[in-house]
Amino acid sequence: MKQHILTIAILSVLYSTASLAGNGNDADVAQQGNNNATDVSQIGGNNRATVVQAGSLTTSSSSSQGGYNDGWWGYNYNNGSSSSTAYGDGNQNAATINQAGNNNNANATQLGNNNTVNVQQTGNNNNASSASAGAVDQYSAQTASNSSSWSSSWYGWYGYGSNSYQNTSADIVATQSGNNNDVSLTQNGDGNSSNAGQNGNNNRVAVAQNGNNNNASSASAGAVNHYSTLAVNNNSSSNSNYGWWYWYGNSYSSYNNQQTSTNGVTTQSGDNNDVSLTQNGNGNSSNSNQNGNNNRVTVAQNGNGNSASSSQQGPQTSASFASSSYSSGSYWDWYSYSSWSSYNANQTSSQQTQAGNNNQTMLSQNGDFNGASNQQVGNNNNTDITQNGDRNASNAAQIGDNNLAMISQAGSSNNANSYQQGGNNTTGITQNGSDNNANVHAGYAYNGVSGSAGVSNDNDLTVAQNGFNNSADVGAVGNNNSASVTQNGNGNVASVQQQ
Amino acid sequence: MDNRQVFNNILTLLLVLSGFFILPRAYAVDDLATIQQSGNENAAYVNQITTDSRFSEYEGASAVDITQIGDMNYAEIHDLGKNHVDIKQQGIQQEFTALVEGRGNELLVNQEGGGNSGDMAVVGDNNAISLSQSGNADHSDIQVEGINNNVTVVQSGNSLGFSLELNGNNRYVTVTQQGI
Repeated sequence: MKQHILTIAILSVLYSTASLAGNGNDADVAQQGNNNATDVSQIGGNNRATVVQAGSLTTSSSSSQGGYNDGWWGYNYNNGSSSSTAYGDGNQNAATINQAGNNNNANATQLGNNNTVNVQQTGNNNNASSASAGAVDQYSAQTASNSSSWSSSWYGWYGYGSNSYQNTSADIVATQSGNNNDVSLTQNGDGNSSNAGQNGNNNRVAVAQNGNNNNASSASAGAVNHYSTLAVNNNSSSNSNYGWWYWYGNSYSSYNNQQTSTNGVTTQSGDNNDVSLTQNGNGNSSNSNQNGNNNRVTVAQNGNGNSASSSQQGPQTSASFASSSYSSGSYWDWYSYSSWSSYNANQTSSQQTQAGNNNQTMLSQNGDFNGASNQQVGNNNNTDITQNGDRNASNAAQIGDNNLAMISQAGSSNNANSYQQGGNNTTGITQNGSDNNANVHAGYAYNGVSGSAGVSNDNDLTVAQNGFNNSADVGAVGNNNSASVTQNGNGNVASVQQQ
Repeated sequence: MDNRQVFNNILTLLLVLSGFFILPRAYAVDDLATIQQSGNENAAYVNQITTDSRFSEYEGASAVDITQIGDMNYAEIHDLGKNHVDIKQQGIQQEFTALVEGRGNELLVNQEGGGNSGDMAVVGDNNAISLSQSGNADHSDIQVEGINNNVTVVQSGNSLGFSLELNGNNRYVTVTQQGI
């Protein structure tokens, strides 16, 4: 038997409560005024509850309990300093909470599978939170204006209800526009995905994923934003942070006074992980940490004063970094800093490209069969590569003036190459071990980079090798170049060409 | 003018053209190449092409400095221009080969040990060659082609060998061999 309750109240301080037991029930509550409260409890399946509250300082609470709820459940509408709570125990439940105004709170809790939560908040200082346990759930929150936060905790247990050990897959979408917003997402289980989009300044996103085959992505436009992603076990995540010169709600003063500072932190533990970061703007930073096998990090930064760092532990990892600077440099000096390191890993590769001036790359690899490549186009750039292990390879290419390339290798059968085009450049290669090879060339054509060869003056090229059967090849085209090769050991070969 | 003279004039003209027009090259100046090796069976190669003073009055001031400490090391230098070359080898069975082309070059070679050997070829004018070998069974061969070149050889030890071939005028040669 279907029961239907409709309550319409246009009174202040009204408390409405409805308790329904059975299937296919509908509960509609409409309240207009302030300080109203609604409590709807439904036990059974295929029930529907709608609460509409127009006013402030209102509270609404909806709960549904049943072995199997198939239908649309929980719709709460509040306006200002109100609180909406939805609780569901069952499958295929849907909770929708709309709040307009300031200082609102929304909370949804669902136990079961195939549940959905949709929260929309318009105003300031709002808060939305959800917690669920089950599989194949979908959660989304959309908030606008300042000082809002959205937090979601999702625990992918091994099938709540009749199913067991099923794959857990939850999609979480959080979209915020405004300033001083927070997004906090926690996903435990497999096959989960989350997406956080923020448009504004001083926003924060924190994503934590525990499980396998998870995906996290975020996109933002604004300044002084912070993003952190934590993934444990076999995961994949990608972040795209777009730090445009876009001040939400603030006046746009001048080009050089704008700075976007975005901090993105990604931590992954497990195998087959991906990190993809894109940052456009100035003053951005990113940090990627991976612990596992066959992981990948890709970072692209466009702007000035950016920094990126990566730390990878495990074999067969790869990291690539690309940055470009486009400022005139009159006020905000061109600067980009990247630091990449891999610890005790074999068969890793790292590739960096930097375009602009005053860029710096620090790269360290520990293990065997590692490859490091760095290419810098501009002036006053700095490359520092350190490799500890055997059969490693380093390549540093620099086009411009006043550049510095330092390569240090410890181990055997390593290879280090440095190519420089321009003036007043310095290269220093140090190799400790045997059967190592060092090539240093200034002013020669290099296929991997653009620029004309033949003009490289006032360069300082130095190779130091300690060990046996090492070879050093130093060549320079230009004037006032200095080449120095120091070898300690037996069976070493040094070759210098200057013209 | 006989055919031989015509041939020589044409050859000279071709050499001049190749130096100025056919093969224009930007020769470097003020370069410095330094190689220091300590150990055995090491090899050092330097090819330094700076001002081609065979055809130009402008002369660079590049330098090569090779130091090898150990046994059975090898140094090979090809130097073109007005350069300063300094080779120091300490040990036994050291070997070097030097080809110096240009004017006003300074070639200083010092070998300490036994069984060392060296071959030097100097093509140009106003060059200064100084070779010092101390030890037994040292050997050196020097070929000089040009004018106003100075050659100084000092060998100390037993079973020493030295040969010198000079082509040109106004050379000053000093050879001293001293047994121990």
